[in-house]
Amino acid sequence: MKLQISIFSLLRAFVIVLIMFILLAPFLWILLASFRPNMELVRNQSLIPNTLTIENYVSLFVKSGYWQWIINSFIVATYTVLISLPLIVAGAYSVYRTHYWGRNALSLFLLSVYIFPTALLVIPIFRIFNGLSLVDSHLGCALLNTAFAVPFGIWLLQAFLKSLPPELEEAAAVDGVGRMRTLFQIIIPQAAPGIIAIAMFAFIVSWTEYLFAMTLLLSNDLHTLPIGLTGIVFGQYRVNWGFAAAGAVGSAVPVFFLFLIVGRWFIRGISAGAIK
Amino acid sequence: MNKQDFRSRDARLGFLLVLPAVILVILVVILPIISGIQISFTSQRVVGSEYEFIGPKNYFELFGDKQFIASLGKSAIWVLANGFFQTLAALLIALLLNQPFRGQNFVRTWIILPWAVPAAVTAILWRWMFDASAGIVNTTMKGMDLVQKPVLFLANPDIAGASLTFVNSWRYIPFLTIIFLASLASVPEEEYEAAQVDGANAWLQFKTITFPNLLPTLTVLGLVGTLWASNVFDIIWMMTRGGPGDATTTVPVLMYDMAFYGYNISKATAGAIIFLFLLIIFAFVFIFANRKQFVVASETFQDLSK
Repeated sequence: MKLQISIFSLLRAFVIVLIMFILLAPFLWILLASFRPNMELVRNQSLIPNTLTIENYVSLFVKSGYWQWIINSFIVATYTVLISLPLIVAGAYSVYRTHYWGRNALSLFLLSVYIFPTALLVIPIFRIFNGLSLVDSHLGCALLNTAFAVPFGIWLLQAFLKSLPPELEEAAAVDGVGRMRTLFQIIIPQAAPGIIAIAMFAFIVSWTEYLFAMTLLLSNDLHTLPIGLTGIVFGQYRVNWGFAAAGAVGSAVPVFFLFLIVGRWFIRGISAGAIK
Repeated sequence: MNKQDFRSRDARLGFLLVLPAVILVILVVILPIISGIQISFTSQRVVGSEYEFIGPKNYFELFGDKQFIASLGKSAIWVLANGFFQTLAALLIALLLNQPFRGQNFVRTWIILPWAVPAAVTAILWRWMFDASAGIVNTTMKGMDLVQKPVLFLANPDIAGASLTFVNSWRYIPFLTIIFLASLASVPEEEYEAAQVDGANAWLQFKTITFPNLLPTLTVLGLVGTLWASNVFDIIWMMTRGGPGDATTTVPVLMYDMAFYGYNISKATAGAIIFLFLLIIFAFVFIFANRKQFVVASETFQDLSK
């Protein structure tokens, strides 16, 4: 029996290491590639690099629009987070803590945005946004990202809201404190970990978004990181792998630091009972 | 405060709070669908060009279009392979990671990285890993004498779809896993303790406690995950552009290509509407079949408002 258990946990450890290896090794591999000269990447098949160079990073930081793209990505992501958060918190409170007819259908209606074939309906979106002067604008892009971050964000907050003891609100109601004040002074401070998680979710949705940015941001100096990166990598006939690798690293590093700082809050923030 | 008064104020507050989100969804989703239906009945070729009303001609053409029918089949396989497989795999991985082990915090933080980087990065990573001559996957397999000739992961029509499914799963499984983990963390500890006192074994505990508690999450991810999978565009576009040949041309890829490279936006939009219609049917059937799981429970103020 004891032997059986240790074999089981050994097997489990092996599977976990294997999964993490498959998920994370490509990042280490591309990091290594980004310091190798492009010619060596194409010809040399050895694992250990012969020469190390920073030429790829010089191309990225000096010759490409990297800094502009990253600033633009941050602008769009910041707008997205700032617009999403109030909509998600208010929406989640509405769906999961108040009572009205059609609440169920409404929560389903919100989730139904994911039915929308984004790749195709960019054409009508373009027409409508053109009429609203939201084409070629970071705000327009952020509004689209927000529309796709909010429904799932509302759902993500539910576990958290459910775990808040109703007594808090009931006590406030008995004391004659209004619902809005209860929301702002009691619920939101209690829900801080959940709100951090939702902010991260909205940030990542915007940070990784490709199609809307490609369609709506016409001017080069408005391009976000995914658009700029795609341009330098897949625009040419031959892919310059060293440059591409440096670009990939340059796009992953900001997210890496984000998770280094607040990463452990993510799961906690979307679980119930996180306020214990 | 009398109860009638309380209830109507509760309802009014609920409506007001959710209104901004609803307006945004209508502006960004419902209006474009209406506008798209309108475009699909015209002869418009490029954005802003002249057009006339031609009725359902685009739809008739699409139903006779072998390429379109084939792309529907490819989308069906893609959705099954990605939507279904990813949810199942994520559930299993989450169960595996839920038991305490050394390094759990590290795993719970960093497992999500593949989901958090732009698709362009994913495309670069895996095109490079899968490269025929210098890619690590091929050089390793060759070094171990597993293959004689390099495997053309993205250029061989027989395996390109499987390679893309792998890459897309690499990207989404971590996110789904995290959501399952959060859901597992929400299962009340006392239920397990009570079951252990009753002498329930691991399987019985899973069946009677874990699974019922996971079911609402599983249902929502089953719905949303399938819809996400069906609309995947960026990864396919950046890795194969639907090729080699038409091997990985799902509906979104074919329609995008038709709209912006085949200069036929009205026909492409008609294709999108057909696809949307199929997804709506799927969603209705799925929601109806699982209607009990979609009821949002909230006990707050229940006693107070009675």
